[in-house]
Amino acid sequence: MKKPFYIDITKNNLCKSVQSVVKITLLIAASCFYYACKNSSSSTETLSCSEFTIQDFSPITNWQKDSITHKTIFLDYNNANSGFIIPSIKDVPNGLFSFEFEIKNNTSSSQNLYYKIYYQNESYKFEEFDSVSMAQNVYAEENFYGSWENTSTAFKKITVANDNNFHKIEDAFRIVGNPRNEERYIRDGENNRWQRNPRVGKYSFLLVVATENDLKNIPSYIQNINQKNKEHFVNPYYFFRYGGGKDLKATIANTSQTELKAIAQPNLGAGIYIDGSRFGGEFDNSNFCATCGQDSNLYKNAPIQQFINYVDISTKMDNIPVIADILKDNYSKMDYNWNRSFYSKEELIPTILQTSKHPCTTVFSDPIEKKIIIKNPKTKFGEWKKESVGIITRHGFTYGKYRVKVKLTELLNKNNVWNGLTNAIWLITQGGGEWNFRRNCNKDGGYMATYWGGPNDKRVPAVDYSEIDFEILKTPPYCPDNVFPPVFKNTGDNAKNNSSWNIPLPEEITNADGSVTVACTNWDMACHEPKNFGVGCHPVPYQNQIFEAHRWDHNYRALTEKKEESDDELFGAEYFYFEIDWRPTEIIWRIGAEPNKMRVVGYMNDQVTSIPNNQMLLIITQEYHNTKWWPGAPYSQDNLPFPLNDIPGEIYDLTIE
Amino acid sequence: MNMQKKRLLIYVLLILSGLLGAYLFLRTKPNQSANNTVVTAIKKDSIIYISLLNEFFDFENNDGAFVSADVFSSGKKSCQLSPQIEYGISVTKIMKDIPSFQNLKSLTVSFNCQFRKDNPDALYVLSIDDGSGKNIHWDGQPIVFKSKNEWSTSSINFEIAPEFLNETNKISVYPWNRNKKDFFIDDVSIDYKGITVFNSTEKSVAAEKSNLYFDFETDTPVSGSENIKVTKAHSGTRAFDLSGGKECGPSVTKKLSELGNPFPKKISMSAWIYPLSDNPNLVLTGSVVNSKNETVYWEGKSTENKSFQKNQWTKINASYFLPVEKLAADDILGAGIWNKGKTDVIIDDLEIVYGESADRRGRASTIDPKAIYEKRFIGEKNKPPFQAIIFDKQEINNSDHFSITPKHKPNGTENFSPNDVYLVGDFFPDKYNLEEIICFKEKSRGMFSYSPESKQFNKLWENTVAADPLWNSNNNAYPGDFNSDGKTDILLVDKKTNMWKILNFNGKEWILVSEGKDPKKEWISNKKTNVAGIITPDDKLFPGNYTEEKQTFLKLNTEWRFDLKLLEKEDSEYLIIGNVDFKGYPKDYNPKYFEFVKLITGKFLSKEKTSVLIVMCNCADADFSGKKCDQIENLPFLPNSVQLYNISPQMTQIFTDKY
Repeated sequence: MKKPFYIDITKNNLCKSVQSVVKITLLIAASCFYYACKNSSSSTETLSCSEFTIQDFSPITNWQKDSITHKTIFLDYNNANSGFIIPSIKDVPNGLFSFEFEIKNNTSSSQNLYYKIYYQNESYKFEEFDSVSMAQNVYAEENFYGSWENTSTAFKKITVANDNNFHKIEDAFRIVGNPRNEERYIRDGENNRWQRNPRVGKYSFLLVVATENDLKNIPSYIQNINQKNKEHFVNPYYFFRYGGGKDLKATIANTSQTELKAIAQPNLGAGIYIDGSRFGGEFDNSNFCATCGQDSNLYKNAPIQQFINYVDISTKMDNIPVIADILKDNYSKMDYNWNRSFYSKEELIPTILQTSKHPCTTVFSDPIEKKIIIKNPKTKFGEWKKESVGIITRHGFTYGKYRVKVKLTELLNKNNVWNGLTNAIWLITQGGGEWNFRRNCNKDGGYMATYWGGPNDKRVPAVDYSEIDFEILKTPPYCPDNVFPPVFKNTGDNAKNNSSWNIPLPEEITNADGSVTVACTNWDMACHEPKNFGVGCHPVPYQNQIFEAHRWDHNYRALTEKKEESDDELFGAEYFYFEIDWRPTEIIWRIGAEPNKMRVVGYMNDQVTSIPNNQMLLIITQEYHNTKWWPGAPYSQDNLPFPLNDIPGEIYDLTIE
Repeated sequence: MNMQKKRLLIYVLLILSGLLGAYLFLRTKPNQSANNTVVTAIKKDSIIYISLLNEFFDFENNDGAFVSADVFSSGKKSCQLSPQIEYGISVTKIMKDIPSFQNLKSLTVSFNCQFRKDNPDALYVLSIDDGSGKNIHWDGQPIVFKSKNEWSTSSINFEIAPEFLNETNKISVYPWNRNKKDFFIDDVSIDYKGITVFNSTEKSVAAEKSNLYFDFETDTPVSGSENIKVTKAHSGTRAFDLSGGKECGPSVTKKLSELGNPFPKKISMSAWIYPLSDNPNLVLTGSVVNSKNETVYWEGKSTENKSFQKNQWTKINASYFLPVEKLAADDILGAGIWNKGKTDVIIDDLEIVYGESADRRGRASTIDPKAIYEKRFIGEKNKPPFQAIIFDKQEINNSDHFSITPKHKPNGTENFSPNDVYLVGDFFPDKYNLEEIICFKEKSRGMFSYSPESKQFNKLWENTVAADPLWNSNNNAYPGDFNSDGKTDILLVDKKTNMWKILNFNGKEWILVSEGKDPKKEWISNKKTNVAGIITPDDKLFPGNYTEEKQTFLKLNTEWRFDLKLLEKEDSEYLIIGNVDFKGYPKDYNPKYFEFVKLITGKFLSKEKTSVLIVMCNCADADFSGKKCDQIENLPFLPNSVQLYNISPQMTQIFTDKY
């Protein structure tokens, strides 16, 4: 066994937090010396207490061996319905990360020592330590941390001889969902690890080694992360960095410099699964094919499924009996004005916004180009449908930076008339009830109980509903009560005086004629707990920008910010990126032509809105909205024609990191 | 008769003849005018109850015995009345200095007041003196205080009778401390209210009666009009300047009865503002005051604490729903802007909208959306919704001469107008057997035929003799093969004598081929549309081979909208195939958007298929009924034009499906 160079820190109290300061200084000096002596590129770290010394903790030795500190892994979507496993057996043969460290007995006799490895998602976590209460941050127990899959495997025993030699210890672990094996996700004896999937982003690795005596002082709820202390989990990272574990003199907690970045990037050419329950009892399966349908391959491996919008029957509208291609037919504002004024009531078509009844007719997965195509179908006389279309992911995550590369339909034509569609990129709860409840809301009775209920809905402490939206459509960008909704002139229907019916739009609308509004919304279910919860319009500053967040009333379930952007830029180019950066304490909405050219268009934090912490799915839709949802919208959905031609949109990439 | 009597008689005769001449002149002038000039009907105006002038005094810039710096409701000064000071600030105006003083109806003084020890039982006085200084009117009304050492707001209204509206009269208002007590007055606002006629400005012509627009470029009937001046403006060169601490911005008041019944449920307003300093606090106000001068309703939306940038135009808007159940016809609805923050700000382009857009006509649709959804919708005969039948625009080349679409429009018959009368027929056989158009203008007429080679209509014949014995407006003209020679003839029937003439065109001129008295009934009877079934008296029916399949009919009705339908006839019943719409026209020049349209149908392009020539224009007549237009108006965004249409080949599928 090679005897590596190491630094022996003899004072036990330097084993813990102080060691980090010293460590950096010494490491720099040691590195210089080491390189000078050995001319080798491998770096080492040695930590000692009076009883033992450990070194060379390498949490992942069998993955990306060339990269020591920064490793990346893409989540394997094959057969991932029961939850993501990092690594999968496709990544490494046994489906486990190997880790190793070396240990030396510093005492005069052989001794039993105990070790355990922990991992934690660092990208989307609450800080473990609360500097105000000087205790664990109450939300740190929500962090995604784990250890060996079998949580009852506490610390593993090793017997180390007093031979003054380092002994290499090798073991393995993997990152799985529900790492604490919480009862919340276990049903009928089955651990539904997919209900708490591993988070994307960076992971850290913590090796803890303790003597037998110290082990007795490590609480069982730290040794077995399945256990709770007073109804709450205690984050082992907190315990060993800031809590009782910090003071254990014969315990070394070594956080590796190696970090692993987990990225989810589903193959959009891997097919679209059809969930029959979304289409009612019997449905037309005549369009099923290898890349869209219900076969077992798609069931196991398709990362996407066809999305069917919730249709609010109460939003029935009487639509003008016109079928036209607004984007191609040179449809003008004058056309809009005439059609608005000169159809009598009996000529209108009572319309309910529709969703597809024929799966796989409006969504397509292209395995060659690895993209998805969606299209709002054209309609014809007697059919008169405005049909929304979309797709939804099948694997939920909590938090993540969701970035999509898309070319969705242009919303305005060359006359800047809106085609009535809303392009939406949004996250929605994975549903499921209690297992997916958001954190309790502890003020004024909690959340509004349902998504669809009115203002008199009852309040409950917890709900599973959550939603974070990008909705892009033609509507005024500002807060309705802040800069005031536009005043529209009254229109008449005197055909012998075209100034009676051909009323121009207000100047503030025409000034931004080629723009659409990017609406960024968080459905916080009207939880009053955030410190700055408010109604009306409130400025939310972020990075030299001020975003006006708007909420209609105290029982309104969503908070929205709006920004005006060029329709041509967002939907006229070959592709464009949209990003929802969902973090534990903030949500950032960004858009841009390239991933490195993103700009912020919306920002909210936990001071103004309840940030969801449950598991959500991503949806991309081109949907028809009732414009009554959007006060001040210059075009009314019922006065816009039915689509004469298909309206396609393409999705090229989805990356969650 | 002596010379004196003779002279008197001559004088009397001269006077009488002068009077007679004047009478005749005045009597005939309107007729001459009607004959020689186009009478422009007056656009409908609104009677508006407005503030003619508004003045505000906060005493901050005053010094004098009556000014106190001890107590004030705003700023640092007020008007003090004490045992030594019997009369407070007197505001005096010569009547002619009040804008539109002839329309002055009342004067309202609003102020804040406070007394020290005893309620002073003081009066606010309106006094009117004539030009010589003699008092001709005096009215004193009690000042109502709230309680000791507490500011309260009062408002007193003085009615002003029409007999006092002489331009030299002097009108004064002042507080009278008749019991010589201690009290204070501050923030005095004097509002001179009156009625005026609101003339639609050029811009507001585009709006309905319910849409008012003030760009302040011309004399504007809003309160505080003295603040309108040449300054930084959002449009034009003038705007409403609220600098120097002025609080009262433009406002417009209207009697609810003027706004129709039922009363409008909503009032909306917008304006562009240009703050000259930070943190403007403007309030867009809506209010209703009843006949007792009590405020029934008030609502305001403030810009306070909102981020409005200095030196930048920003538009502010507000809409208020009115408590119509509380309102009466005599109530005054006000809309205006209050510069609550008294910061310097410029206001321009004020717009006020009363009520909401008109509801659509007709009864609710009976279509079952579920039937559509489940694909079991079956249309009912002659009931909407109808298919859209598309007619495509056909290209007609332009020409400088003798074309119906010349580049430079002359005043000849080629300048087609919907006011003209048109006859269509194969009057002159050509190799394509195409039909010609005769355009009858008031003083000329011309015949045109389409040339497939040049793709344009060329003039074959023209008659410009105003008093032509044959071609004049005394005759009705009918096309048809009346003498069965295979050519289309013209039948002219004298409207008075019923004498008729049949004319044939020989390539150069019209030849009389037959004449007589009382034309055969069948010659003219089938030229009228039988009103039955879906055909109404206002419909115009145009038979033709639009689809090549069989004879179909275009039915045009412009009573409400441009409503053109394609019909077919089964047995004796007309069936609606669909609504006709157009494609291929440039920009927005869809024929149905024009105010005045005439359809001319004929086989202009081929002998198998009927085309539709549409002559269209807009009309500036205020009372335009759709039949005849005196003031043809060429709007830049919708220029008058002539377009030719054929049914779209894509429509063939509809008929294939149908038959």
